[in-house]
Amino acid sequence: MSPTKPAPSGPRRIASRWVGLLLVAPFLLYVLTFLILPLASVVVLSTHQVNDQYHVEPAWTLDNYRRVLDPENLPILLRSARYAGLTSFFCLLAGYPLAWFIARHGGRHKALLLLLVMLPFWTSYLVRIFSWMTLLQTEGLLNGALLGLGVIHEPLGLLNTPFSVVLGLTYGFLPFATLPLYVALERLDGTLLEAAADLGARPATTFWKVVFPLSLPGVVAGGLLTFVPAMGDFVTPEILGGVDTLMIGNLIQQQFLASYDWPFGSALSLVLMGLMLVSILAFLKLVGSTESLA
Amino acid sequence: MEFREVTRRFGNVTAVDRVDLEVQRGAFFSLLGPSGCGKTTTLRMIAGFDEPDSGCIRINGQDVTHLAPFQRRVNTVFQNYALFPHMDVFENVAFGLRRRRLSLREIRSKVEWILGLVRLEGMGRRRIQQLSGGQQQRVALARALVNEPEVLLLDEPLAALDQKLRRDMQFELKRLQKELGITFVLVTHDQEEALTMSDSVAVMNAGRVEQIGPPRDIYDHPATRFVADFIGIANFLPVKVRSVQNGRTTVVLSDREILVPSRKGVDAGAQAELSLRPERLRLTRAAENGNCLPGTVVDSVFMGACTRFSVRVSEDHVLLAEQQNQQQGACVDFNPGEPVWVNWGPASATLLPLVHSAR
Amino acid sequence: MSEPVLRVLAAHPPGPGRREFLGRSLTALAWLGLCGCSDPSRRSLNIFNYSNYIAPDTVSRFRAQTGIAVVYDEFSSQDVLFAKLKLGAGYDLVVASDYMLRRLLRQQLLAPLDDFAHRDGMMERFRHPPWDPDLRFSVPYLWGTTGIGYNRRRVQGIPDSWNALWDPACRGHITMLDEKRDTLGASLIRLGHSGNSVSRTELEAASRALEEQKPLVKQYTNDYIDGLARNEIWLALAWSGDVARARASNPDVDYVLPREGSFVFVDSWCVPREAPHPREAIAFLNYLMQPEPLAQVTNATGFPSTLAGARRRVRADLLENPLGYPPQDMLDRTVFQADLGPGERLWDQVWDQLKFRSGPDAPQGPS
Repeated sequence: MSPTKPAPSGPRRIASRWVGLLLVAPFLLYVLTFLILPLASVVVLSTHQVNDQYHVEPAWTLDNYRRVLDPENLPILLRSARYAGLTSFFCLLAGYPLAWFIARHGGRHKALLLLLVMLPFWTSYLVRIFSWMTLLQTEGLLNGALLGLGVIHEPLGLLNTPFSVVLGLTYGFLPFATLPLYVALERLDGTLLEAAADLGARPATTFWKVVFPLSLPGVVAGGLLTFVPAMGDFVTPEILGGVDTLMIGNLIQQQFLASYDWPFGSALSLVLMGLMLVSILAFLKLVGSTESLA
Repeated sequence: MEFREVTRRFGNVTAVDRVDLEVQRGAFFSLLGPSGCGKTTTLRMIAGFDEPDSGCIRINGQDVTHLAPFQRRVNTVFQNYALFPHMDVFENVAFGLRRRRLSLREIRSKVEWILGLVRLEGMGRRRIQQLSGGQQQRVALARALVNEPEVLLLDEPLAALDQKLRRDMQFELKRLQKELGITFVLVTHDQEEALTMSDSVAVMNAGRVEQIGPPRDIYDHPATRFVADFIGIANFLPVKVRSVQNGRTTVVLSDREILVPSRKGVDAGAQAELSLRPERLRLTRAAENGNCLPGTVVDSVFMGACTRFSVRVSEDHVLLAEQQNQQQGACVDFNPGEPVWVNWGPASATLLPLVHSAR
Repeated sequence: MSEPVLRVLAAHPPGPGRREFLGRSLTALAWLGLCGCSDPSRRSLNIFNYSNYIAPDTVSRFRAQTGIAVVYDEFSSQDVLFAKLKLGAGYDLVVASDYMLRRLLRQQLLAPLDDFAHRDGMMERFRHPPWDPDLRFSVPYLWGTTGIGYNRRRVQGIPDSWNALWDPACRGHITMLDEKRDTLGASLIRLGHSGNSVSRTELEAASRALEEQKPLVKQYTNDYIDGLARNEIWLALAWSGDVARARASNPDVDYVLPREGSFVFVDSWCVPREAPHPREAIAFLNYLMQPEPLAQVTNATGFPSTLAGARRRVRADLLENPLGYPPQDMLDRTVFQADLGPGERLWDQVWDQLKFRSGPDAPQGPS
């Protein structure tokens, strides 16, 4: 039996470790510069206060956090969660049949159909939101069509309502739900559906007992991917919203650009981030348990 | 279960071509054939996953041709088992029962009963991923059988198992079928499987049924060259028919006259083929009375229980002959190059009509 | 050739070798590239102005005449302007409203405009504003009033009181400005208080009135010109010039200054202290603050300008009052938006509360 070669010792091993570090260095630098440092500055800022002269003073206080947790901020937080939750729900509702169709009936055109789903993303978000304004206005296309068909006699006040905000958000984030659902449904074994039918399950039963449970990881992913960004959105409520449809994103934006209360805005952002992290972790735990099923 | 003139086309390809089948209640029926012969499509049409373009399917007298799978009292054991990964064994097996809204107590007792039957007692709460291939297959079986269907369909159920397991499962399936008395319809490309387990076999080729019958008939009296070739090993020799008399036909082969059992449709003056099974051929040093041919041994292969000899009987034809190694009176020490006589009894040969068109 | 390049070349006298030549050329090119940034022959200017607050071709004509490239940015609210200036966004020339101008002056964020040439052309009224008596730091540009823009066909009678904005008959078609000084101010005036009050009780009362108004209001927006023109908005808390523009597209639109009183404002150009191109800024002001270009601006925006001589060239329909040049008795009903000092923060709080924490989702109880 020939002796095994000894592991590289001394300078060689040290050298390979340095090479490893060097390769990772650019990424670490990137994370440090664009994640750690800005985050740290926001944390520091959240402990300061702004005075009457609009100067930021390093007061080193947790007062801002107390203000954030003030119950009077609760409504806007709940409203944002409500809108984001509705957005997630409708995105999943609309995205599921779409994903199903592409996954199971797309055939050769799957890639093209997915591209079409993603296509609106390549246009400006703002332009798409404004186009909804045109559609929903009192003298807009939708009202015009409904009036013309005789379905209604007075134009509907659709714009500047919670409806228009949720509609705008749902429209904007639909691809985020469709794609994870597509992935989950594409992996689904077709013979399982045949087996279910074979055992006496009607199509609706097959869906609820077999398809939906197995697509749950996709549902959870799609839900998360729509909830989190919708929660922080401020453009849609600003343009399509009314007076009482503003979301927490607007409140944060206001602090930074109008009220000039950067410390409070920082504290708000951090608390929002924390809430999002907690819900993501909770969801991931859920996915972890469902993934083992699929 | 019966098929009447059932046809199914996919575009230009006719997968199932005017097939007629009749399966007795309580029988173990096999659809046998090579890949692409239409057996799987036929099975799917019985289950309801596919609808025939024309023809009619009846089960217990009821026309089920256009019924959806969940409307038929038919259950399938899939080739890849198709067990529901997000449910445990109990839930998988109980799936069909739950659809029929039986009480929890009934469901529990039936599931326990069937799990016992397939020898999976106590495994109810195991997850599917934790089971071995053989165990999964038995769960699939249990899941289908627990519903006591009118017909149980099995789509190449033993294909994924290793040799020993396959033998065991063949035995199991036969036993279950006898015990439950349910009509089994099995699809396979493995002729040994079909012959060992079935009461009746249908051999399919290119969408048509070439022959239906008990395994013995299929083997001993193949109806067509395809069946003869597909089942077991067969030697084929071209012959010319001289005369037909009293159930016996005289044919001429290499200037020798041979008597074979008559075959309907093969008349005097026709060209035909003779099919001979290797194990029916006897090799001797001297010619015997009856059907025999002279030849030269080309080579021999020791196969454990028997030895297979290749014997050249003419310029174009080499016959395979199997000789039992331990049989009294059998001679097995022929060497390559030796002259030898190939003998067979008159009933051992099958006369086949000549195949004209390439299929 | 610029000096640094010469110095580089001098330090490395021409010698043998192609490699050295390549190295030196690259160095020289790099220097040239860097110099290009501060090369005085390439002049540029960054302007930050209210949206809809200049004529479409003003900037291009200026560039044609002087060769200075202009980067023109717009904002819709004074608060955004302030935030950007505090950030140090690198603007050379901005337009600030009167009260904002006072804040900027107090915070010493502005540079003196010594080379501006046209002070004497100003209308007397704007020549010596109390916040900048010698016009050292600011150049008054356009002015106007805050009032009610309305659709004659959709609104009964003439809405000459602030109460008109609380009219339930126009539910869903009323907009208020996303500008706390104007919206809170209007509500204060409606309740009989001063539009510049810094009393907490008065502000809270004004805020409550606005909360009551909310179910009737479509949106808080500074972008209402389109809405008025398209009959989408029937009553808007609006700026005079904007309404003039809307009227140009839709003759049913009109404007009224409520009898309880309102605000007059003047917006001025000023140069941030850290502006990178102050000379170009002055050049722009010297170009713009003349009768012809300013008249173009008034014609385009609907707002009257502060230059005496410009009036002659303004479109006739804009000279009508109160949209264009309101008469003295009407102006007497208006006040400037005052510098609130420490009261600013109080207004911020009340406004924040109104925008984000009131409404149907809010917890019931003392605000």
